[in-house]
Amino acid sequence: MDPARIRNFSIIAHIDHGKSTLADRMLDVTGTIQARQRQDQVLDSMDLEREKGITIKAQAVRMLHRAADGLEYQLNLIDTPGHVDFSYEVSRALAACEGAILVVDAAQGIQAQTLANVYMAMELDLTLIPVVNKIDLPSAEPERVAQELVDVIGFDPNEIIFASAKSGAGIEEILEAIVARVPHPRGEANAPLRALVFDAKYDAYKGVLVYVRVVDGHIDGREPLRLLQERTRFDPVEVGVFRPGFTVVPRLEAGEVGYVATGLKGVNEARVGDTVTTDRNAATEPLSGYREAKSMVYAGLYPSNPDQYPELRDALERLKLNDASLHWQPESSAALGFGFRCGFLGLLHMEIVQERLEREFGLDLVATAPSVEYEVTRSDGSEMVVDSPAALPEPDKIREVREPWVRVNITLPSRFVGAIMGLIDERRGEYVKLEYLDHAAVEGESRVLAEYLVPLSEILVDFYDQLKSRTSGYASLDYHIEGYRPAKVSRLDILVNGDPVDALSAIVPTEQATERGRKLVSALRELIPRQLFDVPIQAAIGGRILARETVRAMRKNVLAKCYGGDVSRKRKLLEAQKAGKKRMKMLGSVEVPQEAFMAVLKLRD
Amino acid sequence: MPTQSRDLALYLHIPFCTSKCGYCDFNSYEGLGHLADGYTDALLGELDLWAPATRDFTVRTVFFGGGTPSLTALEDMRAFTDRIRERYAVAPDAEWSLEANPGELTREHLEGLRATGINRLSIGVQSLHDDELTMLERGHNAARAIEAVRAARAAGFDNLNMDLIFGLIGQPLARWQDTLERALELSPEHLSCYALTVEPGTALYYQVAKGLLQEPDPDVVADHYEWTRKRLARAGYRQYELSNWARPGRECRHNLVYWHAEPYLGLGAGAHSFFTGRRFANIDAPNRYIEAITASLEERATSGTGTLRQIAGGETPDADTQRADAMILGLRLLEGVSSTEFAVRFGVTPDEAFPHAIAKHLATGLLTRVPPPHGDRLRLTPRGLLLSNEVFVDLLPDPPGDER
Repeated sequence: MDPARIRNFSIIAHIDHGKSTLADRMLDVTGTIQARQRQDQVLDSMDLEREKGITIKAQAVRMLHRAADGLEYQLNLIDTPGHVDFSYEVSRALAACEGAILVVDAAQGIQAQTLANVYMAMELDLTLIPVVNKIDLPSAEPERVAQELVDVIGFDPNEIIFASAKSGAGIEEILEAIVARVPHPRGEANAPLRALVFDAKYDAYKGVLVYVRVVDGHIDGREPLRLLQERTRFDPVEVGVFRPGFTVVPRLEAGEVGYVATGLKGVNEARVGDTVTTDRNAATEPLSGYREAKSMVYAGLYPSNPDQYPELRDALERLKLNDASLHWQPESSAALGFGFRCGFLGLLHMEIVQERLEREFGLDLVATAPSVEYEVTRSDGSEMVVDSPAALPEPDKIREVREPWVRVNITLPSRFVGAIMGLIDERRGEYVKLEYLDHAAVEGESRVLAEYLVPLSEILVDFYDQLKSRTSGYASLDYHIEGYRPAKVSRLDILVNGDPVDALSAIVPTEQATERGRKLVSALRELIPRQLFDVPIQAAIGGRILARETVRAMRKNVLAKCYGGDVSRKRKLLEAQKAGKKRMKMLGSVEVPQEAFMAVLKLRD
Repeated sequence: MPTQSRDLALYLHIPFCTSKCGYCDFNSYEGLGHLADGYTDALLGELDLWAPATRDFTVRTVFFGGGTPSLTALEDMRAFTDRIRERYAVAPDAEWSLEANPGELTREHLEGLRATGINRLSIGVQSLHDDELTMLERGHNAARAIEAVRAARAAGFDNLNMDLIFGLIGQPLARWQDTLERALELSPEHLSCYALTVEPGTALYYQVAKGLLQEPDPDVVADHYEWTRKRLARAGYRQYELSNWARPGRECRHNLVYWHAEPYLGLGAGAHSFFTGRRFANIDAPNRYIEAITASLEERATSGTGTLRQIAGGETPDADTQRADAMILGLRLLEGVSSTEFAVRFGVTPDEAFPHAIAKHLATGLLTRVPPPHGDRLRLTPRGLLLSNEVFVDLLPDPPGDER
């Protein structure tokens, strides 16, 4: 199609502001989805996404729309996730677009993350179409929210579209705005092929499918292709677009969005962010334009059953293809055997990766407590990076440790500012500034954007939940890495039955070590079942014991009565007990349930 | 453990109760009295059905269990005992036991039972505190229980068991001590003392699950048990199984058959059997059991042979499972398992069959070896008695050999 009739756009929004519903509605109105195939939130195709009601993966779809000028346009929508953990996916999707619809909830207004996404879109020079959504909610204040968009981001009031994705109001207007305002792609149709890989997934029959936005040239499905950076050559199996199911087409032209089935079986051969070009007459300059994902949180993932190590490795490789933000390297633990140190974008990302590995690959995993990445200067002046408590050198071998700090943006009604200050204090944070969002607020109270600097490790656990509970759910959060600062931290070791358990160690602020140690051993005492002998559980720093609890020896585990000769049933009861024991991890001769390794997460109340 | 035994134990199940107790998960029902007549006929019929298969066996013990066998009308009891003597070779010194609730044990009923040849009664006393009996939903009070025991004596029963439950929810040790002391005053020949178990599916279980009752504290229950062992030893009772004590020579011979993994036939709804190497069970529901027996009898009458339709299912344990069963059952007995007898039966010694589990639990102190000349036996230590499941799970074959 003539590039002048193509529009590539994305929808950005804070979580729950109605992005997926808006996408559904556009698919409806353009007739891309027949009414009878409808299923809510069509683009959230993963079970997990529908269950959690969030978008995790970017998705793409092609719509055809006859505009007011009587011409038919090809609209390629690349849907994006809303949660802060997945902003990396957002940046990838935006890199493939010329415009973005900014959706803001008419009742909630601009949220911390709305701004984060707006800045990302602006950096990439995208045209933004502001939409105030959910105008039919009883609590909606569309005028006030529109004013926020004018005041805070600097939109012209006339640009703003009022809509209800639920009722369908304003949808036609949005589609027209896309055609009228979003620039058409400006690639060189006759230049050597360059297509940006913005996502990938594995198909058992067609190999790796790369999702591409063609920038220059075209893909015809016959010519051998190659990935510019990875230097992988392949013969395309098929070329297609998303309608929204995979639909084969003969060609993808400059400016179009679609997929190429590469036939590649090795999942390492294709990387998101790479550039597809033709094997002969190849382009020389790879495309750039999206932010590299940076892991924020690290944790060990181990198979419960050590025999599943190779399956876990394969599963991680498959997942990586679909989730480029996941990083890992093999590690081994005396307690848990062989596993992987994984880097995640955040705790939700970690939870989702773990759930996907368990569901999609049938694995049973043990996850260790998450940690951030520390920079360490050793006594001899050498530098190292530590993302696992086990790797932190002994105290006398350390000159300095630096930990990552994040800049935290929180939007909230002004009356909660005091409550948040308390939370920031508890988390070793610092106040930066406070800004009023709605200068025009007359009635009711005003909302503020508060900015703080906080150590990343302090917001990993329970920060978001605390934020929500202390602001009656009104606050929203966005953060990004600010830099490293010196930190007084120590490795808190846990000894079970006298032996240190590497997988239970945690890096904690030295001044909080005793209290954390006490809470941790008492949590572990509840989590570790009684054994045949007393099991002491101790917390220590560098060999000095800070706290101790004892799991008393079990005294009774007996079937008092032998049921009138029902031996089979008695055996089944014992088999159930045996199965329960098998799910435990053996630490020396102590049986420990998997939850124990996440105990450190439950320390804050 | 005689392996060539042609001895047989018969179990007859009476599933009826006047009211179902909250802790009970046995195959028993209240409000099914209208089925009683049909059930008696079915049970007599099942005795007929099995008779040909047991021609080479001598019945050494007969046990009427339930439910509440003492609810059965005397004429029906007479019919059962007559039919057994008629169709089966019964040893002259056979043990004939019956489970009884104190409520039904009138002098007249007791004399009638005695006349049918029942020579051992197991009386479900459970507690000698009225409030505990109410909590357990038993239909009698303490006075009635004591009266029943005395009446049984007067009717000529010289082999009595009292069933008692300890570790009741919230029960202080002193209360259990009081029950046991008063039971000892009645000089039963046999005592079964069970720790209360909250069984899934019982009314008690749901009360605990809903948080209305708290599960007994395992440490308190362990205290009760340890005191019980000492007290009964002092009173001259010998503990011969995890939950059973007897005056020397008064062990329940029928229950010993289960623990020795010797053959038994269970008749009646839901009854379990171990016969010709197979473990199987009858249909639970009394009405469906009756229908199945009727159909089997008709088939037998017309064709001369037929299926035993009352059997709901079963398994033929493989060699590993048989060995595990023999160990798990045998270790419940205080005498433990004789390596020699085990080897004669299975061709391997326990140490050869379970090298890891035995070594492990000799080390944990739950198992001990009694060297020759006293028998070359393996048995649970006093601590191992209360932690026997820890040993048993390690004896189970892996993976489980179930061929249901």
